[in-house]
Amino acid sequence: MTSRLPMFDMLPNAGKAKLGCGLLSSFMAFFGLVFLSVMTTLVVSIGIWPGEMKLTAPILCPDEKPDPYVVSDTYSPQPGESSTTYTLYCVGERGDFEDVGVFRPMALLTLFHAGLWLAIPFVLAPIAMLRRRARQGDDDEATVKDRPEGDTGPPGTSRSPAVQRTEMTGSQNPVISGGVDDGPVIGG
Amino acid sequence: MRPWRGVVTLAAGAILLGGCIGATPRDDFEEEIRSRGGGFTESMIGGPLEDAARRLGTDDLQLLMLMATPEYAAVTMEVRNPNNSREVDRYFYQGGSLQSTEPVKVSVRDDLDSETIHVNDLAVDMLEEMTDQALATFDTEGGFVSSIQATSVWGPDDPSNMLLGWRISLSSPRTDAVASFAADGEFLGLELQ
Repeated sequence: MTSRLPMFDMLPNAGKAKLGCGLLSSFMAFFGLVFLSVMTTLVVSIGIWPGEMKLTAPILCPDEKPDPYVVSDTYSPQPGESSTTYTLYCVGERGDFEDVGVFRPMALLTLFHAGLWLAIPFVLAPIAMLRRRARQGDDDEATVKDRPEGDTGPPGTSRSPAVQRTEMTGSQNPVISGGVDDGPVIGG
Repeated sequence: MRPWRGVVTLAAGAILLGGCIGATPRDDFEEEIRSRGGGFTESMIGGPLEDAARRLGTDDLQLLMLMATPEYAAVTMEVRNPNNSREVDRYFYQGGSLQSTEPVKVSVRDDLDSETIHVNDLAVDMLEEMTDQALATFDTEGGFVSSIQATSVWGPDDPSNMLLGWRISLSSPRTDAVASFAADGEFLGLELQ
């Protein structure tokens, strides 16, 4: 059976599998990002911080109505229940206003949140790398402090004075007494 | 203090303040609009007049009524059909967009010509100056423009003589007033209610 993509048929089976796997991963990553961004927008912009919609004002508000307001309307659909909706308005100097609604700000914020989620690895990776380097530096420094004076060997090869001390036994066979990390004592 | 405690505190604060951050209740928003003068701009009336003229394909738009309510960005006008002058439609605009049109019943005894307002006779481009002058003359704390109407007003020299003009209704928490202007924008007077 041939596919509609001739180039796909030219690939070896292993290549097809890799390509399929890559496409599936990209597809899932894309929809995962969309889901994450939409959920972030719903939780943050409706549940916690409706004023976040004001961040879209520079794009959505006309020049003559630059001041954004997120207006809340609370209704009571049934006794004991309340429902709140949010609308973004752009207000001018004379009090003239434009109803921007909620869909366009939310769509823009979803894009913004998607960008943030994408940026997180680029921010966290260098931080983690720097921290790892700093920790390595601390370890090396601690190791150098433990070394005896004059030991210029590479880090990690230093032995404590106890290790370097060679004890001579009565039979003149050398006995190397063990240090902390040196495992069992070799000796006669 | 462990870092996760900060995250938990932040989350708890966010839940407690949930839905409050950055939102303005409707009443406060309307108060803000009034404090800026009510929200009237020339385009609030000019836009719908241009749109109606374009829809009817005429340069001489004829109205029986024109009224704007800045607080709701709403404009209502009764327009005579240029092709059938006894046919009148009511156009309702909000936010600059036509929301609805509906026919208006006209009596055979109505003298429509005497009630007709020719839009070309109105100084629409002077409306912002007129509202500013009306508010300055009203000079009342919290004053704002509640409505603007093109209608017959008393003449400045001969009070018995009615002429085409503007009635600008002003409101404040303590008192109301009506400012009258001639069609060309000349200030005729302010009447406290």
